[in-house]
Amino acid sequence: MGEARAYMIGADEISAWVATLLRRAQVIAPRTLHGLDAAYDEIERPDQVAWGYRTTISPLKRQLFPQTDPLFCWHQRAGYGLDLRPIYDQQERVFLAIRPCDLSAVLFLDKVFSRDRCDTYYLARRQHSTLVALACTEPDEHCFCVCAHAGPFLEGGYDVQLTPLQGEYLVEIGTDKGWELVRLAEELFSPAPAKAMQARRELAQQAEQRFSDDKAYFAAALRKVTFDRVPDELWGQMGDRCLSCGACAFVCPTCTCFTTADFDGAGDGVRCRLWDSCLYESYALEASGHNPRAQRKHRLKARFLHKLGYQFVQKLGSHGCVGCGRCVTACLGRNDMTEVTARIRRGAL
Amino acid sequence: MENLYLPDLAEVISIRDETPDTKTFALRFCDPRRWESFDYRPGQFVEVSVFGVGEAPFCLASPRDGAESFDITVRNAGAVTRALHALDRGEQVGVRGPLGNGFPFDQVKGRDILFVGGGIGLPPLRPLIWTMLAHRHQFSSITVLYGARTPADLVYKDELEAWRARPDMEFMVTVDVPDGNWKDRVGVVGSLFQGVSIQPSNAVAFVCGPPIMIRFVVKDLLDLGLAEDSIITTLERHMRCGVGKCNHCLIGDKYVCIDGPVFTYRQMKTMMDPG
Amino acid sequence: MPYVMTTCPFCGCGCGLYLEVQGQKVVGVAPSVAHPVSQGRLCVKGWHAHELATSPRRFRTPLVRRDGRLQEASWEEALDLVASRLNEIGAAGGPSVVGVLGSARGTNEENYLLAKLARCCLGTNNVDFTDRLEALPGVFDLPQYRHLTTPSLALSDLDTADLILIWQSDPSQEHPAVASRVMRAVERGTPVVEVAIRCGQLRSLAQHRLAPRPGTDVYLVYGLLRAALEGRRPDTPAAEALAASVSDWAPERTEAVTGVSADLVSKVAEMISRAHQPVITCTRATTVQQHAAELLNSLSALSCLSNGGAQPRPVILWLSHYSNLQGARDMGAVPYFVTGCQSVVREETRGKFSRSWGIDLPVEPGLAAWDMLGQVRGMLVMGDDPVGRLPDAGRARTALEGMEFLAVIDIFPTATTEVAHVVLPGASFAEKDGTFTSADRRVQRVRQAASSLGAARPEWRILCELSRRLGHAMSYDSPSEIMDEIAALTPPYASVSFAALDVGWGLRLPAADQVALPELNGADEETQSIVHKTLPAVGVEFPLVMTADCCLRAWVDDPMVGGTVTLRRELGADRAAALPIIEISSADANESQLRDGQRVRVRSRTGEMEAVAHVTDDVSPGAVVLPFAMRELAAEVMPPALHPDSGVPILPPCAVSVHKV
Repeated sequence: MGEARAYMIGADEISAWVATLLRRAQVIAPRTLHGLDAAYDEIERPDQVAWGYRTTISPLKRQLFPQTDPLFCWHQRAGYGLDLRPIYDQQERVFLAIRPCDLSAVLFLDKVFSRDRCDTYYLARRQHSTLVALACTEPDEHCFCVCAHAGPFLEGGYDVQLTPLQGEYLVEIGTDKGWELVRLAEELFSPAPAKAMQARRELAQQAEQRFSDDKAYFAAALRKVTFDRVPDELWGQMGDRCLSCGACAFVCPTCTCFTTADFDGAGDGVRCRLWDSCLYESYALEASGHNPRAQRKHRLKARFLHKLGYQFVQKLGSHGCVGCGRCVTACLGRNDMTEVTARIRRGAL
Repeated sequence: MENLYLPDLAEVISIRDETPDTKTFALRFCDPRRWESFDYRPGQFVEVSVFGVGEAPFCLASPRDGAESFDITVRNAGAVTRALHALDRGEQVGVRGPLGNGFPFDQVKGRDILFVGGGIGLPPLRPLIWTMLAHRHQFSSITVLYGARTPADLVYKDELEAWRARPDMEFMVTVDVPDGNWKDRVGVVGSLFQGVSIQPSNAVAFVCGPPIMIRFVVKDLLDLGLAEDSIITTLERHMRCGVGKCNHCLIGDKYVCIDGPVFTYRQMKTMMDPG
Repeated sequence: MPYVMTTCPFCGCGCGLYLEVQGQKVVGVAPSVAHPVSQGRLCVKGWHAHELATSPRRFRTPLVRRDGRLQEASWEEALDLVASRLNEIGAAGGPSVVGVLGSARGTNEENYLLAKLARCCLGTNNVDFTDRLEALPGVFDLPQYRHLTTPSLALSDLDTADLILIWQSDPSQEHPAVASRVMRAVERGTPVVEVAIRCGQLRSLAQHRLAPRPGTDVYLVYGLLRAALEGRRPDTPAAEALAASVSDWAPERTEAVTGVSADLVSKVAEMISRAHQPVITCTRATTVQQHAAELLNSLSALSCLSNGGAQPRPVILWLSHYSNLQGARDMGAVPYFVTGCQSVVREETRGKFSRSWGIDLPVEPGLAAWDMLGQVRGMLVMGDDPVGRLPDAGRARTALEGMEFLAVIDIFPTATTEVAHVVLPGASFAEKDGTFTSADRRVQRVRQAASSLGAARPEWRILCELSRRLGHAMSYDSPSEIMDEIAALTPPYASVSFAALDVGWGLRLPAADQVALPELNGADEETQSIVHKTLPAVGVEFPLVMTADCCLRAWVDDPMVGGTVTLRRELGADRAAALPIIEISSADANESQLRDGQRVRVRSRTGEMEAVAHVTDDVSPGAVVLPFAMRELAAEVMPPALHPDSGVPILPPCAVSVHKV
């Protein structure tokens, strides 16, 4: 373990570092897809990393908690009955250039999946993951991580945090795991001078000033939601503006609702868990036909209690939002986090 | 570390027809060590898998108490239950559990125990009834009221007769719609309260059945003078994982699969849920 | 874990989405943010489109009927059987006794090959697809009407509209990307007017709601036209003719016939004429009406009266229900056209195609899909499901059951595959390359993300192999080559190629020629009396009018929706009910003392049925709404019929009474 906790690496050298990472583990980084779409995806070469990206079409949770996640398979053995085998993913991965909001979300998911009882599937992936954040100097149009205390720069929780400075990157090391990554190509790094840390602090402050008017009034919303003081009529009006598409649950880095389904058959098959959304009409539908959440307003209310209610903040350490802004883009209706919290604060549409 | 979602294999030991659409399956884990270490309290449930079809929650319908197997009572209502009904003895299913919180037992010693079951609501109460009967002296009185739509819909018909015959408990049964052979009471299960002599201040009621029945029975019990935390029920909800991770059974901030399925009426009132 | 950019296979909006691939399996979906239609959003169906690729309900091997049951067979056996039976039947009875059905969900390349196979290998023009019904066939293919169901507008026009008129559809069910845009428009202050017997979720956002009695839509438009023309001097002969044709429809008369208040008619007419950039949206609910041609023509004329009468072109956005209705028509899966609405009898067309295809096009126009049933003896069906789509499902089923030979290429079981002699397993949209043409004429790529499930094969390969066995081999290296051939033969598609489609977000085809102010029949006495006669006769005995609504429970019997895990639970077969469910207004329910959820008896002049009543003010008083998917259960009460002029199958509204049981 080196003495300094902060290093520098030139923008030219960083590709060489990525090349060494690629030899050691699967590297997941932002890549450009079609047009301006970017996604966290596996890279084969350092030049595939889209360093200048703003946000991705899907959050990092997809890598640790996939949309279709095989849990176990079974085989029918003649004369012996069924044989069940769990399916764990223990691939070593480096998540490179992750946005602070997405990284904060992973820390939140850590709590969700290990609270009370441990989800070994998530943990298997998580334990074999190293998280390298890329601090945000330029927030995207819909971002509001400042309101959620999840960015644009992280003060902890990362294995490594990169900050782009002029022609080089500041490399802050947060954990031993992070240090291991840097040590792989030690010769490319040099200790960071004090002025680099100063530049980083200034950039962080500047970034905080750059957020647009999309703000989420968490404090007020939290209070009203926790104590059930949002007028029922308002939930109704918001319900009229929900098209039950499920997008908010799927693009949200901190949502984790799922269902399970069996594939293939009785003799040989696999059970997977699949992403699900509490805003679906059939989400709470019981086998008897009774549906306690038949109305959209009730589903919306339940969702935002789960996201914002202090009952959950107590259990999980923070509310269920990192301000990534993806729901603002993805909501088919008009109920993204910024809209909803603003309306709750106003008490009206 | 325990895999929360991986079932253990269990064998169907026996199958008994209860009603035209309901069967009781006696199951036992295939692995003897798993079976030996399997212990549960009345009120808890298991998640049962028919591989290739799916998984569904069922309350444990018999007391553990050194038995050779455990019961689940299954109504044929959907894909998984349909597949269960098509199974034969000796076939394998998957079981995860025990899950959930179970009925209070020690906490209600010395009380007048009142069981009120409707139709398919009797199975979760059955293990508690038998366990309490096995420790009869620890309870002041035990009364079981049971009702179903028709005589054919009554479950555990033989045991009902056994309960009727016992001198150490009170048992009354009623149906909404009698058939030609029915010689007993007719009416909703709430109509049986008139024949019950308990001290409301010392009474504790365990109520299970369809939501509408619970609503009316709870009202009757409150009118009788029972306290809100002396009325105990099991909540049914769409449950998936059974371990508090998938969020399907979340009501307000309570997970039916972890904080329940057993709740007192007082708790239910505070759970923020309009449905 | 690659992301493959493709197009959603469900409705006609044409949203762009990425399929997530993991270990050669399709495991997820993410919306494209940069895509001009989806803009980062998808509806519930798009979000679960990946489930089509792994569904346990998929056909994985060819099936051949033996001993009354469909049993697994090899490709060789199945293909040989299909070819030999079609050849036998064709040889014995001639080309008029064999036919093929394509699909509004199939890719352009598949539909093209199927139509080519029919014409080259089977020598017949009996080529069609049942969903062509959605676009009033026979009428809307005529040059002067073609533009009505091939919109010049795009979905994005909703973003700049200053008035949105939603005509008899529920976008929240049929085209959620449209509903999304309407909600945003409302927030910008754009007024929305809904014309609907049954309003959907957008009801609370609409400024005005007009509920014309079932069957009287066209009169409402006449009334709006007249009100919009009020006080204006017609400045062209066409405008004069238009004014004359609707001169009888004063607001009071319109109110008497349609039930919409004179006041509202005047108000909405004014809104339309004041608007600079209105958009009128309509879907198949408009075109399956009895007077669809007249209705759509009138709406078109009405839209031209906006902008103070100076609207240069109709501003109608007719939206097809399925992902490739436009394309299937464009590809010549039509009994009298080859690609691009080129007539099979035109010399120029015949010459061009004979040079490319190597045969003379059959000259006798073919039978429409609904006429094929009962007249042809052998059929090859690709992705279509006449039983599931036609108004007279019972008759369709009987006809198919009685067919000498029926081969179906499909991915999921349908009512049609159930009675097939051979089932050939096809590929979902995730397992093949091709193109779709969206409702607003955007040609986009469908890209293969995984190989076919089990022994299933992409349809284009199946058709090529069949063609070999049918004596006129079609052979291509890839669907890209197929599209090149299409482009060479089809003027609107001339600049389309896979390479061109890889750049940007697809290509928009040129709009059809516009007819600004069409001639209307409004003043025609004979038309008026016929129209009057076909209105359901309400009276004391049967005071309400029942209609079949395509938007209500729109996806409950859809095989693709039913084939997934999540959509089946949310929208599909898991939500099916044993008894028909009818929706009725609270006013009418109170009149008959009906409660929500109660069992009721519905009677009409032709029969009666038991149903469950759902009481809601989404439905206007005077109307009873039945989901189209439940029409078979209601066949005695609301029998299907044939359009008196065109012979096209319809499900006309009927007068009913509703009583508690």
